[in-house]
Amino acid sequence: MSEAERTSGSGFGDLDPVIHAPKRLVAMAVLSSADQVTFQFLKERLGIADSDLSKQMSALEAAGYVAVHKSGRGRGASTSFKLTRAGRTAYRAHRAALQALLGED
Amino acid sequence: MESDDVRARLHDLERAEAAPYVDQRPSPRWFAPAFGLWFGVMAAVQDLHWSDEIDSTWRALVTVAIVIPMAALVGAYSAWHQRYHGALPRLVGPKPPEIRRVYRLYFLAFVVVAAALVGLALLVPWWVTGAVTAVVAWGFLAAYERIYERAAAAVRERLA
Repeated sequence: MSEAERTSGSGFGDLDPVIHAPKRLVAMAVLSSADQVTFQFLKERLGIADSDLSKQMSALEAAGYVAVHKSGRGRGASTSFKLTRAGRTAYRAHRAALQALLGED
Repeated sequence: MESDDVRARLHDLERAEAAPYVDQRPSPRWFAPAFGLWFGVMAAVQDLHWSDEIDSTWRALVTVAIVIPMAALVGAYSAWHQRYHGALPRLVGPKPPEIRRVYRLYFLAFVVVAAALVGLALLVPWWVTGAVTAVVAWGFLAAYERIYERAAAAVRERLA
């Protein structure tokens, strides 16, 4: 998203650039409806490779929107994710901004 | 951003938000009987605890010896559920209207059935309470899962 778009006053400024990327946005949407989601569940919903999902989730974690929980070791190991309070707020705001854009058309 | 793009993006979001509720694997066959057995044992223990059929010390010991492992089973169940289904849907917050209706029905039916079982427990021996609760809980969950799956299918179809 360009700076011009962000400041155009047309509603784009309310869109969060971190979660506007389609894969991250869908991941946030899944997480918004769950207390906790496993890596495998997200991977199947997004239909992407392990490495791609890891990259997307790292970006969300770095932004403070997602908390990661790892349990077990070896073959039994599992990774799960949950939205942080900041992540939930950001997702709601982003969704509302998208709806507002639709309303303005 | 074109309005069609926004509309498509919001539709994707709605589908993704519904996923934890409607993209669940079916429960294994043992789940409903195990659910019934757990509730049956707990109901029997509770009824026994309040009865005077055995000495109070024994009642306390039996209660503790059974309730602690049964509580531990709840923890094991939570861990299994997370691993098996992959997502723990939120009980609070927005959810597909079809699923919200099923949740409401579940909680209402649960209260009615639980009240009926408590009433029964006042009239019959503890082992009858346990047996009836086990069968009722088994049937209750089996019926709930069928109703839930129908609602989930309706959501999947609506959002397809």
